[in-house]
Amino acid sequence: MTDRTRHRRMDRRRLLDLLVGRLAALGGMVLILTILLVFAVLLWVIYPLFLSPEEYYWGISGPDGAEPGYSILPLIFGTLKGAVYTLLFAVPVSVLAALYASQFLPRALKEKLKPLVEIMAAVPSVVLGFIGGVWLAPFLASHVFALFLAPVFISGAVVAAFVLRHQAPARFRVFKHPGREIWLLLAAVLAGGWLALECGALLEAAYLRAGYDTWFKESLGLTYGQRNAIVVGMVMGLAVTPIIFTISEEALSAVPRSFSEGSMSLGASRWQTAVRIVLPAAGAGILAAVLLAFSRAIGETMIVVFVSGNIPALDWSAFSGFRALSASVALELPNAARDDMLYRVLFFAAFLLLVSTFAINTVAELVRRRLRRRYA
Amino acid sequence: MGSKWSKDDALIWLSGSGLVLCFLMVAGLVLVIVVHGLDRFWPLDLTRYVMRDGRIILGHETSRAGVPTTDAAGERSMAYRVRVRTGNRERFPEGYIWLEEGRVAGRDAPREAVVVEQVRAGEIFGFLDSFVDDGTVVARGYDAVWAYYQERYTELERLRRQRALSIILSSADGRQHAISLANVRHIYAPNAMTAWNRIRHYAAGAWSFLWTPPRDENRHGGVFPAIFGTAAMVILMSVVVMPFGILAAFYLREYGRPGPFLNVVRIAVNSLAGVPSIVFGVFGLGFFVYFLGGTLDSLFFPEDLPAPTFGQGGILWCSLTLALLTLPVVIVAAEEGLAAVPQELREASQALGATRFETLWRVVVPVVLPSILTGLILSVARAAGTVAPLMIIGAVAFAPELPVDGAWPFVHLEREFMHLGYHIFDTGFRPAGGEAALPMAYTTTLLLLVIVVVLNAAAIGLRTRLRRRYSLSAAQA
Repeated sequence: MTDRTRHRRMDRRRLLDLLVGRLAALGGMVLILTILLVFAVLLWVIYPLFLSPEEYYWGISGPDGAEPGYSILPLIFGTLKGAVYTLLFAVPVSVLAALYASQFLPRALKEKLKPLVEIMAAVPSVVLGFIGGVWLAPFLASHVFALFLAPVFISGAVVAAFVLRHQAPARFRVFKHPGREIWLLLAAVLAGGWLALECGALLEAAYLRAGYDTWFKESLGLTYGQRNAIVVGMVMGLAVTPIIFTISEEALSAVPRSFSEGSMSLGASRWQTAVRIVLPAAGAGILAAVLLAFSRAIGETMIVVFVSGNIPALDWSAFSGFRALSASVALELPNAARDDMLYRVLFFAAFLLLVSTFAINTVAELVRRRLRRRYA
Repeated sequence: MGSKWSKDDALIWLSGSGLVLCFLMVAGLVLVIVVHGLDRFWPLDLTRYVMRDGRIILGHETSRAGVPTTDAAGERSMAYRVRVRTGNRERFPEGYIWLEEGRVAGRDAPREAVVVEQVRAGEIFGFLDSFVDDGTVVARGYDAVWAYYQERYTELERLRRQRALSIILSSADGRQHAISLANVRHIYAPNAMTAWNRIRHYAAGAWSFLWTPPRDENRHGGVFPAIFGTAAMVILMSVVVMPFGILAAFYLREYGRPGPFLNVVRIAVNSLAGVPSIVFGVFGLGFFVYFLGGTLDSLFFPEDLPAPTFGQGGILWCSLTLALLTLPVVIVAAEEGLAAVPQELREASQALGATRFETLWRVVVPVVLPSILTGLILSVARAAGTVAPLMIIGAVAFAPELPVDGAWPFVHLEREFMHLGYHIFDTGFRPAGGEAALPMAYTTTLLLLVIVVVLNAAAIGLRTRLRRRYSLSAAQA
């Protein structure tokens, strides 16, 4: 090999290296451009709205033209209502679950749990929405009393199981290994749910003169929509639970061991340590988790399409449905003519979703970063 | 610890019930999907209900519900009613009726009751009356018609195009329907079926669900075009998303110098991951379909305008939009793989005189390949389950043609297509075919759920194995 050919080959290798480096940078560039392009395209379509008289862009046609001229405000309200009910269901359940998993569950069991949660997070929202709208909503509509009883009965059953387990003579005590009590918990929750169903049926037989609709109107002065905020809260709650659970669990586990050891050596119980020491220390992480779940709930489309009933309304009642921004976009944009006023208004709705989720995600990310720096 | 316990420990149990409750709810919903999705092809017994008012109805019970009622004397009681699937949409447009149990005088399961699956207009339940060939009755009564139909099935298949063959079916209350044989797909008598026959019937039903196109406004038939459309879209998307995702990951982990630009790229990845899927759909409509598609149309297909070619929703635009949606998934997975490769490996390679690219290509990429595969699987699962953007840019309830076929140029990127997730939306939400389409929606839901869960489980398994390998090699080192 002469010097020249070696030189040339070296050059080619350098050139290739340079080329791939530039290509990779181009890949990064494409990402930035994409985000900018999304904003630009949406703004390009909606800016004429700001030039035209105000009543135009607050007006939006109703479903099937039934209610012409209702404004976009009920849609914003609907989106918020759905997100709030989602968090009302998901936050207590998943933060408690994360606390339990991070503080009281043996490591081996926790590792087995993680893939399950991940698969739960992967369930497509159209699947959850379908089953929520077609099966769960009618089921709950015919088991309203059981729904009211369930929280009480389930916690009652868990406490009863706990007392039984700890009062029983030692040789009857099952699931002795730490963490195995989860099977007992499973049975208790199932039993509580079943009892709630049975007692709900008894109450129905005793108190209901006609269907639930009449009962709601006469006793509570409310109308009961089959597809309502409670069902949305439950179904969308299940969709965001993995988010809150994973991130809060991570934050709770990241709290240094020395915190809880210090607390326990001072005589605090396991529960006191978890709630008064570990939980506040991971507060920022949990806040970030809740914010991310909130943003997911705002942007979620298929679940609200199926479960919310899609009727625009301005009340906070848990037993009535709503119409959300995302569902309006999905249902009406296919029928909107290009550059029509409706088309632009729906783009405006999408822009609102983009900006709000963007803002919330950014705040969540900042909060998370601060927390990470604190315990790094 | 004897019987010493504190109230605090009960609170621990209560916090654990949150975890259990979540899993139970998800498990319950999945169970509902599995049960409703799987029982669809099982031949159910037909029951004949004789009502007190003289009506006779043939069908199978699908559910039973109690309604609290108050009678004239003020006495409260539960009135039960059953929902009976009736078939025969001409007479029962809903496909089912509610029967008050108190008004049912008697019920039985006649062995001769048959289900006729029609090509159009769904199923009819009834009794075989006679077989008519060009106006002459060639067989009469259940046994004769059944035998005639069974024996000459293959022959009839050929004949039914030439002659006016029809089956006269009498419904439970004695009305007669003439059903042209050209409109008959299948006849079976569920009450007379043996267990083995039922299993065969079930298997045939499941098979045709996977491999045939839908019939009758998605109420019957299969979802093959939806499976095919989903697969085609996902493949097209992978072709786009993989190079960009891998390049971006290379930039973030290998080539990018720490600095403001790298930070901005990282922020862009995070932001992209947080954009709601519906917003991508809106962007896809505004940019891909109307801007890019419209431009393509005016450049290459001006003769077809104003009818759009690429300027309407289609499989290409859906793939591109979903590629944007899944880009962060690929990047994150590839980055995780790149981060796990020990820095010493790269340094050793570069110390031997290799350039950065050679190091990347020969040393890093072979190790990272499984992580990239994980990213690909996860992004495919994500794309298969995402529906909201597709509602806007090209998925349709029924596409007459597949996006790939024998007509030149074989791959038709501009075509609208069917998608499993969209199919669930279409059949489950305000279905054109009414309640009768719901069983179909349950089965499609089950199929989609199985696909997504299997893909995710595969990705998780792959990743766990990788992590174990890395931690092992790190321990050995």
